[in-house]
Amino acid sequence: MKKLVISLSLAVAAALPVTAQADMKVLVEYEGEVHTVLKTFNISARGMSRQITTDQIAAQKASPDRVPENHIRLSWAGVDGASSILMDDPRLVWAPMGEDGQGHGSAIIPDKGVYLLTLEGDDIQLETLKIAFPGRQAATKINVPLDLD
Amino acid sequence: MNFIRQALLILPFAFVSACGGGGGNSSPTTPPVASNPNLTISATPILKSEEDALYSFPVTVNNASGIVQFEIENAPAWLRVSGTDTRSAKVSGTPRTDSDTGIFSNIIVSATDEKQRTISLSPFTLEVTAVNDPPVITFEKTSLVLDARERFRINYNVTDEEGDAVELRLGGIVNDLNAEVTDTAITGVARDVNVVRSGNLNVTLSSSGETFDNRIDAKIFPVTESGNGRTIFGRKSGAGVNLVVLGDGYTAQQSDLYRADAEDFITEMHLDQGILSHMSAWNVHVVDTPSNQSGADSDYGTDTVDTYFGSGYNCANIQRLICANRSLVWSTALTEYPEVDQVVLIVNDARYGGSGGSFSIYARSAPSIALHEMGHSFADLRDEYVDEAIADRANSFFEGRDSNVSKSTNPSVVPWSHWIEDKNNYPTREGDAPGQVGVFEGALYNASGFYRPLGDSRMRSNDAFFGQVGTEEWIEHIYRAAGPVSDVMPASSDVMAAANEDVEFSIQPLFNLDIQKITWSINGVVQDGFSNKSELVLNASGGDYVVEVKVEDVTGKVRKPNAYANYSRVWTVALN
Repeated sequence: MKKLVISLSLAVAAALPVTAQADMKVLVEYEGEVHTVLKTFNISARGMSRQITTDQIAAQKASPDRVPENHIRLSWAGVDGASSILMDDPRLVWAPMGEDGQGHGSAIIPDKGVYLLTLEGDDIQLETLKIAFPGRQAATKINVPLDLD
Repeated sequence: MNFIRQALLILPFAFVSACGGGGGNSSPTTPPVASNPNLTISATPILKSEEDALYSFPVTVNNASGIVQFEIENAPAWLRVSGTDTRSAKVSGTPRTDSDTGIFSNIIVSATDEKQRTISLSPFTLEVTAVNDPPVITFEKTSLVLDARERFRINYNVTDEEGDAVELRLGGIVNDLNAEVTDTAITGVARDVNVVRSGNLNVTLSSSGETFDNRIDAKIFPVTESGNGRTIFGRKSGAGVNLVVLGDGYTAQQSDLYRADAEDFITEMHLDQGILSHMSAWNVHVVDTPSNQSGADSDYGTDTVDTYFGSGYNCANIQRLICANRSLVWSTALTEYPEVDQVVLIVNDARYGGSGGSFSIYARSAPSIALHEMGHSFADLRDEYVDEAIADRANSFFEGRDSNVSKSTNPSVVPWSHWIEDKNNYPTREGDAPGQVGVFEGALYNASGFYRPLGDSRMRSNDAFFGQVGTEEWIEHIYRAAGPVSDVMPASSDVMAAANEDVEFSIQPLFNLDIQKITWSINGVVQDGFSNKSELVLNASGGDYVVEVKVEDVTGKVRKPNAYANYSRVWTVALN
């Protein structure tokens, strides 16, 4: 394909900030109150183009301090700082809508299981990971083994 | 190669009459008149034809008594006469082979009525010219469905009636198939593709200077290293949103059913006209997990049907709630596809059921369940239906959390206000202006106090579309998961290069240009000549420059300010 070439002789410089992002997926196993990271996956190639707007950051900050029912607040810290996000409880299981128009019904939380978290950030090197559940004073620390691959 | 064996011209028209039964005369005469009701026969035989061409002419009999019987004598085997009604017939047939061609003389067409009066056309001679038939190839199979790296062999047989030499050449996606021709077969091994590849393997026969094209439909599916994971839509890895569709209760013999059900789910996604435009972002994978038995347990945890993921109904005493071994589901999906974004598990059971949450489960007859649940798990949408039994679940609501639920009735305040065209005139009652966004009371399980954007949507009933607001969220989450561009160069934002030499910038949007628009600017000046070009080359004198590229969704389905859908990249360029 023929390349289009543009030639200029003017010179003006004004750099704008760019925030490239890369995500981390975290597979967590839980049994009762014990949550342990099983595996982490860096998805560096895909999130490269994401740019978080100030509106989106403001929306995150606008979420209530109190963790609402069926939600969790996920907090993590890496070498580059700390982040937190309010999200649906990933352990929840809902019944589907019924054929006769019934709703989902109450959610259940299995006693043990596995869930997947997506941490949005730039080259996260995970050091700590905590989950705050509704109605609890202290957040639950998720064990992050040192030998994660 | 066409050739004519001989030419001969016989009567172009025949018209004869007969006065008595059994005494056939065959001299041309004038048409009969009413006062002289002689039996007459008329026709215009066609005297020349060629191989493979339909030969046909009508025959008509007048003044016959009762039903007329027609006969033909001295005709080649392929030529017949058949009555079309009581007084007329058709002489027709198609010479198919060289042996059907030549000169056939003294062909006589006769008609006999119920008084046994017989009349005949004048004998005529038919000359049929042979043509050189194309070589014929028959394949053992006419389509290829292959996994990447899979070997294949298609036996074939070529015949040429004239015995001409025939040469075979392959074209089309021959390179993807690494295909070769032997004397009896086409063999090859599918390339290790990353994207589902479909096309035609063209097989061209050359004979006597002419070519004849044949096609074999071919499709190659990317597979994982283990061979257990198979991409059935989109890419194995790289750009896009990754959906892993697992199956439970499918035996090894039902692997085709599992695959077909997974493809039905893709079809279900395509049927939603809102999200259809952005389907190319999805990469859909299946993983072989054959079960020992078909179906699912009637009571989750009571193992009566031996399946891979142990799926069962009546989970938590809710009949339609299907649960499965969640750890195994996640580990299976992640082992084959570490970049998985969404997981759906299809259960091979006819009974209605499923579940939502971090991944979706549905019984194979109800794929709409999974799409509604993905509205939650993928697009962060809330339920819009009313169910007073669980109305207290709305207690966790806070304004701004949800894009499709609000406690406000103000059309300028609701999160979907950008979809309300006229803030003074918008629908508020179900049935008003179907499909138009407004402010409708009843959402998040409550009949009052909570509002939704549409009279009906997929988050209100399974068989509806997502609608404008749900679609916008769905698309935003595609961009959020996959990024609006799949590649951009240079990687560094600071570029140093020599003056008056080419500096290349490139961008690869996630979608085609009918979905996303590319705009380049230099020092703030939009470069119209580079609109929708994926590459810009700067060649300038020494100095500092700012090159910017913007990629925006132009479908009109994303209206709110959205940094996930819209992308810009700025390079500071120093040329010395």
